[in-house]
Amino acid sequence: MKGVIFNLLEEVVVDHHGDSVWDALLTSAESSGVYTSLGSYPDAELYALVEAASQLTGTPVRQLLHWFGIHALPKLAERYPSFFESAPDARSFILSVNTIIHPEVRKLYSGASCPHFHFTETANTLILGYRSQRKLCDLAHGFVEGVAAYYNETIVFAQPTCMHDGAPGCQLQLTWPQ
Amino acid sequence: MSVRPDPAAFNVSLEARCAQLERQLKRERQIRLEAESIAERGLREAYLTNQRFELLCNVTNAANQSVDPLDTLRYAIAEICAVNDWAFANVLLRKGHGGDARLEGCGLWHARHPDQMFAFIDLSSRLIAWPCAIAPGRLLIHPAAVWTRDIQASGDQGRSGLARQCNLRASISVPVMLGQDLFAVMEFFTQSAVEPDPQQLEVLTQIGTQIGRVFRRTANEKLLIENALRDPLTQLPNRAQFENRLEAIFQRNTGAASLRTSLIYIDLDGFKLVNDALGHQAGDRLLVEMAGRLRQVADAYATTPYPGAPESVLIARIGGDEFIILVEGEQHWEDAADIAKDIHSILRPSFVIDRHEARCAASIGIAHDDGSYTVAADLMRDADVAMYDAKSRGPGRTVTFDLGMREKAVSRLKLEAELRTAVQLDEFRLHYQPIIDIGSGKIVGFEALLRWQRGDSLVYPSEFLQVAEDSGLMNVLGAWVLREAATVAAGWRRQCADLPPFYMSINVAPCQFLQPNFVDQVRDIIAATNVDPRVLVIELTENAAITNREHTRVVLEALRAMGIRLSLDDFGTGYSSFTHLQTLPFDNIKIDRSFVTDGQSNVSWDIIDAMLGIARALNIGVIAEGIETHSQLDRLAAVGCTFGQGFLYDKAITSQVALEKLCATAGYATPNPVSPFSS
Repeated sequence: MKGVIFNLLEEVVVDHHGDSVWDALLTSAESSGVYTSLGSYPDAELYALVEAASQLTGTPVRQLLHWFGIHALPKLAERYPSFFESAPDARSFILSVNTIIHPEVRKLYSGASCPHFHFTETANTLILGYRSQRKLCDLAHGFVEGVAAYYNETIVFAQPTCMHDGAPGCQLQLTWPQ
Repeated sequence: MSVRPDPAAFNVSLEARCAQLERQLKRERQIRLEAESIAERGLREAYLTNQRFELLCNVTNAANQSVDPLDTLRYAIAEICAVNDWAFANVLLRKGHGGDARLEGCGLWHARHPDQMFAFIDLSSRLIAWPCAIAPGRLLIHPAAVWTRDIQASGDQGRSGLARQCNLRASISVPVMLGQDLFAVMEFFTQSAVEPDPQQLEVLTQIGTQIGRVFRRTANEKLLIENALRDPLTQLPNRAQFENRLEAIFQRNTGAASLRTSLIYIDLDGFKLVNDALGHQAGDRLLVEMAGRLRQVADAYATTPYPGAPESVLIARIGGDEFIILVEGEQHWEDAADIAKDIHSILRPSFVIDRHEARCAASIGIAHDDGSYTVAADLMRDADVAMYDAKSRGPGRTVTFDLGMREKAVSRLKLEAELRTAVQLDEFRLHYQPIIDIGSGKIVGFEALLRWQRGDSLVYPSEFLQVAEDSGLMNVLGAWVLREAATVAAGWRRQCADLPPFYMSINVAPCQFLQPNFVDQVRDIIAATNVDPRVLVIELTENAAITNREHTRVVLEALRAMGIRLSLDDFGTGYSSFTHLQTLPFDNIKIDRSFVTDGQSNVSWDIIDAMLGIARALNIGVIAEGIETHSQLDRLAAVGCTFGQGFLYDKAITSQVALEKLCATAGYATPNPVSPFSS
């Protein structure tokens, strides 16, 4: 997992719960807490931190990831404004993930394993097909809500299939109400 | 005074200390973010540089291995689109020259999703762009890469509307060129408005140059192959192409009459003289002109039996002044004969080079394949043999090969070999025919005549001179004749101090006379033999004299300055131009034997009379050749001819006999009545 995800998690936790909570999470997860966006760290460390937060707050892991996605999005916009500037609306931003954002990530970190979304477009819906061993559809869901908030749009979210329910892949269905 | 800070000033509260540490922590975090950002920019730069370098390497490798520039372009546009994630690429080829220069779509394109932009692809692959202010036409005027941020707004060649439909935004047009030569333009289209990137443009321009090299290399290879099969001077097919075609015909080996062939072997008569006299450039121009005329004839007979078949008539230049025409088909026999006739008539009009009028006749040999030939080279050899036969009969003749000629040709080859040996073994002799003062019957000089002592028999020049000339031995033989005659004349003078005055007349062949160092050769021979140059007379035929009149004048004057006299030989048989006599410094003319021996014809005598009149007017001497009878002698004397030679007096005799005759003061039979001019 890219270090930037750990950084975002730290920023979101500190913003909402303060330094001491983050410190407690690190202690609980037995993590050194030394993360830089230039590095990559084991996925297990992220899961351990999320698990610790879940235990600390009594919130389920999946719900926590969703929450994290929503609040991490504005932090991403702060760090990488150009991605947002070149997309005029939520739909085009989401569509640029495969073609612009992830290729750019690979330019910085060769070998970064970014997920590939399979897009199916109709007039007012967009279906994101997501398959990953990490099963982070909740994080993706949170990011989508963050994007809607960033562009001040209303997106109705549905997830007809989910890997957590044994499906081979997740389908994230976004609808822009007309 | 102490500079140490007061410790009390650092005695801060715990809250203040915490706030300070928090500020410090925040700063540290900012520093980390800043460092990460700098490092990320560096990583991105490094990635892009590396990616572009790899792209350039890949295209360069492909270009180096390519034999077809379009293949390289196909590879390059796909690679460039893949690396940059560009949506569409199109290739336009440069066509036309000057005001007609344009860029044309060629159906070579690459698209990420062809179905989503078919209309744009279709239009682009058929696009014709003329020079204009915007890309791609602009590259015809200013061949440098152009990056258009948004073509939907640019009015690009009528494609902006379709670009909008297909969601294409930026376009990048890249010239494919080397040096000043623009070969093609690659255009790329993106689906988002991409800002111009100078480094990217530089890489694309480099790629354009690499592909330009493939275009140049392919063009050069094509030219090399063309030159390998084509004569660069006349643009006619060359010997290699001709032989390939003839070989292919023989390979088919069907024996069908409809596929049989004739060969017409053409040698330009008189070309070599023009080349020697007026220089190679003039010779080349004459060749190009004559080749054009020959092609005109060949083209008139050429047909294509079925679409895509080679033409039934192929003309090729196979040597300096040698051409060959292959005639294929049922009519080959008749066509070959007609072509030969047409060639003679098309070559007839003269051609003016550098104000000189030049003419070429052709000696033509024809060989027909009646089905008996199994080897292409044999047919060619026989056409060549027929051509030689034609040449030996004088300019402008056609001869069709027959088997007798082959024997003749074989003996001719044998003769050539023997001649070479004869030169080495010193088998040549000079015999001397007396030249007589018709009035007194006394010997005034001798004409040195070449003989070949071939074993026991004496061979006359008529049997070997042509072969000697064709095989390049003439200059050697000619020089030998000059030296030998001069040596003998000097020897006579030494042996016999009170010898009456005489001169030694020596024939000089045209090619010998046209040698640039001829005067030097003569001067050296005079010095070496110690002959009195006033004894020497050089005989030159009119043809040799007029080939290059300026050269002739300079040489003749130089010879005269040495004391040598000059005779114009065979007068009356060539152009017999009054102007030549007037402008060239000849001392004598020699009336050709054909006029003298034709004693029955009054016309001949009228001509002799006229020649004598001219000679008198120009104050030059006249020598009649071929006097065989007393009646001829009488008549010559009657019309006032001063000097003569012929069997009536003596045939050519050996040097010893000639000396004895010269020493004997007694003359030959004096004609009667005596000419009024000689008394």
